[in-house]
Amino acid sequence: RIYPLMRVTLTTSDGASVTVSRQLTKHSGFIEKAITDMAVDDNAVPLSAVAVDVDDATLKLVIEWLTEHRDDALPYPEKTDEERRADDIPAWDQAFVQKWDTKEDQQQTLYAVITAADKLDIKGLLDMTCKTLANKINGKTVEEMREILQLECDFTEEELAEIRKENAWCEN
Amino acid sequence: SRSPQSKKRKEDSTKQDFFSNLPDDCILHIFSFLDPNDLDVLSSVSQKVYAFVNKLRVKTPRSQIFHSLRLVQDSFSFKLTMRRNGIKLDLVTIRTTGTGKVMNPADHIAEHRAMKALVLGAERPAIQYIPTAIQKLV
Repeated sequence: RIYPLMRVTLTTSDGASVTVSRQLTKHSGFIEKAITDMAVDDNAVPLSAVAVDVDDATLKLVIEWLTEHRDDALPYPEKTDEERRADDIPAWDQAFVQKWDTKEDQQQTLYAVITAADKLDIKGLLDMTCKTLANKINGKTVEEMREILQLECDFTEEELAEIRKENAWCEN
Repeated sequence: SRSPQSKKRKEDSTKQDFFSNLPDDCILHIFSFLDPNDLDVLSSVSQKVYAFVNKLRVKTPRSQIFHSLRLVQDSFSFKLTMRRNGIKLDLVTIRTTGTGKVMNPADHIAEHRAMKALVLGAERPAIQYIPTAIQKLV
C-alpha cells in the first residue's frame, strides 16, 4: 500500500537532491525496491535518501514525466510482441520530448533519459523514449539510419553484399 | 558527407559514441519496435548493430512483403506468419529438412500445396487477391 503523501529524497550522481512524493516514485521499480530494502515502516517519515545514478538535469525531466503519469496504471501493462507498436505515443509525451529533443541536441538528452528510465526501472518512460528513437529510424535508408545513430559503416563491400544476400531469402 | 553541416556533425560525434553507450537491453528494446524490413536495412548499418539485429531475429528473423502480404519467418517456433497491413492472417508450419535445418521459406512455400487454398480460402475474405510472387509459387 502506498501512502501518497509520503515523500522520498533522491540524491543524484552530481550531488543534488530532490524530494518527491511516493505517488511518483511508485512507478520506479528501482526506487520502490530501494525503499522496500530499507525495511522501514511505511508510516515512517521522512525516509532516508535514495541515491540514483542519474544526473540532476536528467532526473528533472524524469520527474516532469512522472508527474504527468502519476495516475498511470500499476503494474505497467506489458505488451506482447504481437501488440508492440511505436505509433501510439500520447500527445503529451510527444510534446514533452519535442521540448528538448532538438536537432542540435543530437539525441544526447534522449539517450540520457532512456538510460535513466532503464536504471530507475520506469517501464512507461523506457517504452516511450525507445519508441521515439525507433520512430526516427523507421522507414529510413541505411545512410539515413547511420546519420541518425551517428554510426560509421565498418563493413567491407564484400560483407555488405553478403548481408544483402542473407536478407533476400524470399526473392525470386 | 552530403552537406557541410552533416559532415561537421559527424566529426563532433566521433568524440563519444552515445548510441553504443546505451545498455544492450535498451538497444534491443529500441530495435524491437522496428518491423522486419527495417531490421533488414538496419543490419547493414554497422557490425555492432548487425549483431543486435541478429539477436532480435531469434524472434522474427526474416520477412518478405508480397505487395501488402507480408510473410514472417519465426525460426524459433518454425512458423511462417502471414500478415496483411499488420494483421496476422495465418500460420504455416515450416517443415525441417532431414538434417533438422529449417527449410528456406521460399522453397517451403513452393512445395506447400495447401498454400493456394489458404490464400483463396472463402473463410479468409481479408485476402482479396493472390500476390504475384505467390502466384508464381503455388
